Amino acid sequence: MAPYNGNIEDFPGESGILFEKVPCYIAILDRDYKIVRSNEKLRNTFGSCRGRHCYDVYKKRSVVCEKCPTEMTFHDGQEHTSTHVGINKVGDETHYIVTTSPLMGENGNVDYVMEILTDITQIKSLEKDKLEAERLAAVGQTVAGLAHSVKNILMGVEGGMYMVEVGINKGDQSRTAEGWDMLQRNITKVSTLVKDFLSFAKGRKPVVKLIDPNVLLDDIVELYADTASKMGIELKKTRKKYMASAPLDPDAIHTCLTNLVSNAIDTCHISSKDKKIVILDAVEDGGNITISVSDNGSGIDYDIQKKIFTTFFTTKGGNGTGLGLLTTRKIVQEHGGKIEVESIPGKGSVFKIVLPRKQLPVMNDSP
Amino acid sequence: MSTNGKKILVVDDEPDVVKYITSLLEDNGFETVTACNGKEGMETAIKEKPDLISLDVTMPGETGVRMLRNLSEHEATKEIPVILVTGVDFSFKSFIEQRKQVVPPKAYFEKPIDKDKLLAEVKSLLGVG
Ligand SMILES: Nc1ncnc2c1ncn2[C@@H]1O[C@H](COP(=O)(O)OP(=O)(O)OP(=O)(O)O)[C@@H](O)[C@H]1O
Ligand SMILES: [Mg+2]
Repeated sequence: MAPYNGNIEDFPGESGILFEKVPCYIAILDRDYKIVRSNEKLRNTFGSCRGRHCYDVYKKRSVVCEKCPTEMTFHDGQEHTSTHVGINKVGDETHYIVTTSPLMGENGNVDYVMEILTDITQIKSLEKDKLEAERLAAVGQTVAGLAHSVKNILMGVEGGMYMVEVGINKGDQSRTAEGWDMLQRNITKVSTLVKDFLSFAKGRKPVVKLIDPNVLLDDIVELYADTASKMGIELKKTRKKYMASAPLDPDAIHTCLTNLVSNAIDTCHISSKDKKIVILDAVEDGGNITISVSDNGSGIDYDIQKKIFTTFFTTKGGNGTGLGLLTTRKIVQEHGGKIEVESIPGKGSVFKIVLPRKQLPVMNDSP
Repeated sequence: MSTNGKKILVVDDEPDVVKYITSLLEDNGFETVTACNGKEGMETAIKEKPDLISLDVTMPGETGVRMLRNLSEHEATKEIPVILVTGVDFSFKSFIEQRKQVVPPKAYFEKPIDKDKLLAEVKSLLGVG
């Protein structure tokens, strides 16, 4: 920490040079959130600062930011760290981590707060590039897999044509009907496949809204509980735990949950257990929101577990595209989170979406 | 047609593919039995002693490659000619021919199949028609 001797205008000697020249942004704020001192790098990036409010300088806002770390430090005299997105003087998005430290006066009050900002814009853009590269690699694998599914479907189409042809030639109504069914079934398969594939390959721009994850879970139960119960499977939610709203792409998370729940229902459906059950749960702990889908279906063998996310992979033959978990993982990663699976063969599986609040996307409509 | 009594086992996980191939074969005077995975395929092969097997490569559970090996290792089935019908592209042909544990199949057909060629191959392998 810079030496503070009650005189904020001056850090003597070397510490003054250090203050000006360190390769990070430094600002000292008074209780009105006005910048009373700033270093060279900060001014170079964000423009002139003196006497301006920090939220104006970093984010071009007119009021204090939500969950402002400086406010917290003034309040409790502790250090605080958080990640933000600002706008630099030429209007580009600038990502930074800020740590706030108290500068105490002789009476022990926090007179000023020092903010040290580390610019992570480059790291963020690397992360984005990496996600994009992974997505393209997955698209490549998917295309190979797709060719395979398409061949199977084509074979079904040819089979249908053959049956119809023979049916007509022999005047055999039931054959013709059977062939027609085969044709319809396989055409439907093609269109589903193409739709799934397109939505996966396109990658959509996330639409972020503040939403209580519990609401998304309720939707899913509402939508699928009936269908599940007709198959003899109980689909339910654990007791609701209070959770603050979070910036999420609701449609995308909905897609994730649909994929996980449909997998859970699939595995329960072929299980011979008496009581088949799928449970949805959402909890927050230590800044992580965890949404889980558990089933008491077949479980997943260890060597299969290794494959389910990475490669284009399905054990459902023509009834699965193997895109479900790949898409889910992609969406979860775009939310800064990760997906985990715990499974005991024969007993069942738990798929967990873990979303660290700190890494959730930034709201589209606020700076 | 002198195809009477010749029995063919069709193994594929796609019901429509099974339906197609069995109809085609039955329309040409063959008898058929079916299985939807490698395990069931192996059991049926031992029980039914077919004269020929048409086998899909990529099936859930036990794959076609595995079944091919099992067939060649079992006394009762090792002489039965096998035709692979596969969605996998033809580079697979060289892959499987390099596997020492696996007796290469008698013929390959890539999906979707050419039905006249398949029939001709079946007839020539069984020495009929
Ligand atoms: N809850 C589960 N229990 C057992 N196996 C599972 C479960 N979830 C996924 N799997 C396995 O992972 C594979 C891949 O799942 P994924 O959702 O990616 O594709 P899919 O379900 O096969 O196809 P699609 O989602 O297009 O219907 C499944 O085929 C299945 O073998
Ligand atoms: Mg799925």
